[in-house]
Amino acid sequence: MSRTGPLARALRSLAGAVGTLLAASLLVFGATALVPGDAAAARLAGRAGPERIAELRHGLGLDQPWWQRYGHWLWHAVQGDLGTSYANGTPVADLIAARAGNSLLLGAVAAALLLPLSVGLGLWAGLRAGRAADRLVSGATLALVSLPEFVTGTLLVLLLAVGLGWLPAVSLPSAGNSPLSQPELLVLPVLTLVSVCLAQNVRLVRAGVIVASASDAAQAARLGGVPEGRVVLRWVLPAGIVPAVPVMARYLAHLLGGTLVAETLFGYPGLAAALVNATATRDTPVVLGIALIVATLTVMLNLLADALAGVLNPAAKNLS
Amino acid sequence: MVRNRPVERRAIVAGSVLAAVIGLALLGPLLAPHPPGEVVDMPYGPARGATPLGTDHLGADVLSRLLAGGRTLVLLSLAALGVAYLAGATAGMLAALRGGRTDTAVLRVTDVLLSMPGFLLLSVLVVAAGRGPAGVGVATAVVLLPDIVRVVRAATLQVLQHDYVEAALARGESQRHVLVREVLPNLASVLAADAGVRFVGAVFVIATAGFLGYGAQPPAADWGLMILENRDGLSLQPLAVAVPAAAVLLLLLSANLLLDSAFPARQPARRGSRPAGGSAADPDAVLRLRGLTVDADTPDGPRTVLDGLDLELRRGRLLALVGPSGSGKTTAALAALGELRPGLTHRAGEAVLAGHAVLHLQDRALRRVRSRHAGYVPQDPRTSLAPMLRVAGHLGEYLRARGVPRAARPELIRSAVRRVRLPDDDEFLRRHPHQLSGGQRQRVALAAALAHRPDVLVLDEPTSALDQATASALLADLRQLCQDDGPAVLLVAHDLAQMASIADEVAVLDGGRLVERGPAAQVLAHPQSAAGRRLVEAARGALVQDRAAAELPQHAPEPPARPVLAVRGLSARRGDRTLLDGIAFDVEPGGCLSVVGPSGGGKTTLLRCLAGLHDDRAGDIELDGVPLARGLRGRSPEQLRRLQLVPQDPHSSLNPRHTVERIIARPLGRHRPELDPAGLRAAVRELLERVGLDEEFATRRSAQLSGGQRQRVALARALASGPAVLLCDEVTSALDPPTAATVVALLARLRDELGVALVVVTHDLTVPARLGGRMAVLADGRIKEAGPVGQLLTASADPTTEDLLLGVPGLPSPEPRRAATRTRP
Repeated sequence: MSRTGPLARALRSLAGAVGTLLAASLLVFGATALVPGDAAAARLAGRAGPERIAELRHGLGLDQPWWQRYGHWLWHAVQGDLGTSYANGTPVADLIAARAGNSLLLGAVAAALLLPLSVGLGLWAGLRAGRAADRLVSGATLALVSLPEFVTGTLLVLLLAVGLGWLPAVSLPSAGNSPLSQPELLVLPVLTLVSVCLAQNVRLVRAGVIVASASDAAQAARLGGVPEGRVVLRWVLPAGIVPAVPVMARYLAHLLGGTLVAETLFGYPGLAAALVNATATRDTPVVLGIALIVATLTVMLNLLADALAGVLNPAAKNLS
Repeated sequence: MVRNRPVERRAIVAGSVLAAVIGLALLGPLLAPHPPGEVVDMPYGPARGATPLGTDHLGADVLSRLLAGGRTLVLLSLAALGVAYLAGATAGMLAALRGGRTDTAVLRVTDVLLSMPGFLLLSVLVVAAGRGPAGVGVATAVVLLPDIVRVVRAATLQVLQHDYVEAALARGESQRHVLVREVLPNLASVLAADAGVRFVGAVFVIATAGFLGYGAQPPAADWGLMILENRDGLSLQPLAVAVPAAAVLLLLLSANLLLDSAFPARQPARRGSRPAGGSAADPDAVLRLRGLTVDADTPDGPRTVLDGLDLELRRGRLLALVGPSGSGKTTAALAALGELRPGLTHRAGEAVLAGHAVLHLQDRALRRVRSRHAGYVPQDPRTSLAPMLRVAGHLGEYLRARGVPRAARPELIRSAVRRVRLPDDDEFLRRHPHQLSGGQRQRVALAAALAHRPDVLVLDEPTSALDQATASALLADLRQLCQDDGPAVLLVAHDLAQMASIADEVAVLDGGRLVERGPAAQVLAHPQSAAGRRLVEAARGALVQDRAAAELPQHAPEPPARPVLAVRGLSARRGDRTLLDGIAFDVEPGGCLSVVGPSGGGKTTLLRCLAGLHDDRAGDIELDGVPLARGLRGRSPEQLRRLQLVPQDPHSSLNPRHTVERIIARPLGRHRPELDPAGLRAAVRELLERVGLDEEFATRRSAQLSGGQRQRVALARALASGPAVLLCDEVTSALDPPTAATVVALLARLRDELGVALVVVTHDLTVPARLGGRMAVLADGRIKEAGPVGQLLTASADPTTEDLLLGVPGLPSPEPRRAATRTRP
């Protein structure tokens, strides 16, 4: 164990995060830029001759070697300039700003429901392990775990939108409006996301709670006459949640960074949907910009989860 | 087993469904009534004759497209899984085995891949690899990769920690042998379970990719694609969407169900229900067990654990409950608090705690009785406190349970901590359990149990995991607390010797019955029952007789021979910490050196330096006059052979996948390559006989051996190489005293018969007392004192040795002269 303060440790993990982000951006850049065909060809496909395409290619700087283009992009990105979209010339930052709000809104609503539900259901089932209530929750989560997002969403549309007609099947707000002005648009996507993410988290919390509840420490507390409620609150719950924290952080990043399938399924104007469009047209600046934002969010949430796990489980901090 | 039958049935059902779905997906294209792209009716046509499931958005038959659309999904998932697993498992194992830079590099790559949500990564990769099944397959493999690497790396690291891997490395096996023979067989079940989970993941990702339009392109059929194509006609022809959705669901659900029943998560059983009944008040004794009979449910029917047990106890008295393992002493102690462990049933009799028949109380009433009258300290200090609760928080919870108002708690917490002789300053009260030593943790648990001055205190082997100095200090303080109107103390113990000085009374349990009870001195001096005699003999044998033996010059002074092992100026570090400093000693051929000292003093590090497993060291270690390299790599096969390590933990020192014969035959074959298979078998039997095991043990695996038998096999494995020096790491610490005594006797015999030198690391002073030879006291990384065992045990000069000696419990001896040789505080 090296003798380093908490500050040095924090700085080191931050440096690691920056390195990871750089590598991720290089990966994305490579994936979009090193394959045949480029934005110029995609934009003018069938509408112009080779000279015109070459001209546009030069105009967009696409005739430079890839590492120059990457360096150019990185230099500007560090200064906050993510470039302009090849497809329509708008600044990438503006596009991200417009879409990120929608994605964050959807993800935040889903997360706000997801976290208390996972902990609550996991705790409830874990404390009743082996009984009817637990078998019900475990069976239901096993079924939910087996449903890919697109199947869940489609079935929900089939039931609530087509069958019962309660909710709109498509969640595209009218032009210029925030989805908040039509909250009913959010219901189906949020339901889909929560049901997809819930199952795994409930199963993790349940498993942790079962182990913690049978631990020596909890048993000793019970034998010493500590009320069951306090045993659960102080002994079982913290120990039960710790193993679930890193996984929850991944789900949170997944939710906040735009949920590709749900956004596509419901036509929701979020970040992930924009990324899919941009990859189809090889709009490299948009792809890079969005991927960088999402990766940053993910890496930061992972750091946060590590820190949180350290607070919840002080012994682990000592080991790392 | 009765409980497993429904699980098995579920596995069979799930397996059959999975096989049917996969079979249909693979064979479906042959069975389809129409080609998948053929238009047979109007778009979104209803179900009728030729199209039993209706038609899709182009008018093609849904049934035909369903049958044709699963093959790619299943085959592609398997292919992606195979590729990802081959790459991921290799990278994970290499990272764990090589460590250092390889490990860092592998982890960096997984970090990068995990920095984006899976489906975003998938999208980006599909762009690079191109749309279509091939591109999706490659992208899916990359998406699956990081999790596989992490799981395999973690599992490998865990297997590598086992002593049998170290033992293999220490005898000079190649990395390839270790990976293939020792590690892989023990990873197989983890990898199988994980591969199942990843298969589900692969189907998940590939079906979703189909839905996003990344995979099969129209007019090819694909379940995910069908859902995408037909969503607009959801209200006209729901079957076109619902049927492929159901197919995906069926595939994934049956796979998940199969995994769940084939690899069930460990699930401790819940406490059984207790019979209801009235409470019988008895004001005379604070604790009284009357005719207590408890059965355990086993597959072969009920087995009696406690058989008509009678005990009573007054305040201020300390009763030690002793007996061999399995005698029911822990069950009796917990029953006194109204607790029966899962699988146990209360048959007859009563446990009366402060006038309440606790085995008949319901949860709420039971809790009230416990919080007012009882305290409990569990066995293992590593798990006795919740890791997230600070000292003050822990005590506060117990006080809260006893209805102490918040304002009164801080002062009571301080006095409770002081009572068990812990510091009561704020810094200490803010500590978490991991910042406390084992002894401090047990004291905190004791403080919590005593905080409300209970009538009855139950302790379940509270010192068995502590070193002797710490343990005896704790027990002495417990004795003190018990006097001056303290609680009635029921102390479960297996070390009879320790009980001699602190218990008022000793109760001996054997097979669930009380076979003997009386004042401690009387039971220990003149045990009446067979079980009592066995326990006393084990304890006394270890101390009185062998201390006498140690005082006599056991081996006549021999002419000084060239030492087989010589250590000069040895120091060792881990990171910034110095673990050993200036260690020097000699071991003569056939000699014996016992290294004793408190835990954390550097004993195990010393052995690991000698064995070549700890290479961050300086100074000289000479074997037969030749300096040894620091690590294993620099040592010759001959050097590795002549220095053999016997690891500490009998549970992890033998590879659970190998038979005893195979475990011993491996080093034997290396040492004596001339042996043919029959000769090898005979030699294995000979070695087993030498360590006192029948030849029938040759076919067993470690799970079928007791702790003592495992240590004997580990010894036989070490002897198979024909060593000159055996390095024994706490070989008795996990064994109960009678078994430990036989293992130590075996070591002494091997030394006599084979002339092998011993270096024995132990915290138990009875071991050197039995083995004789020389002894070195190691504390804080330095040798405090060294000399002949008899001399150090009787006339030590160093306070560390004195502390250790005080930690050894004395026994009232039949010969008073012997008792007088020990001074007690």
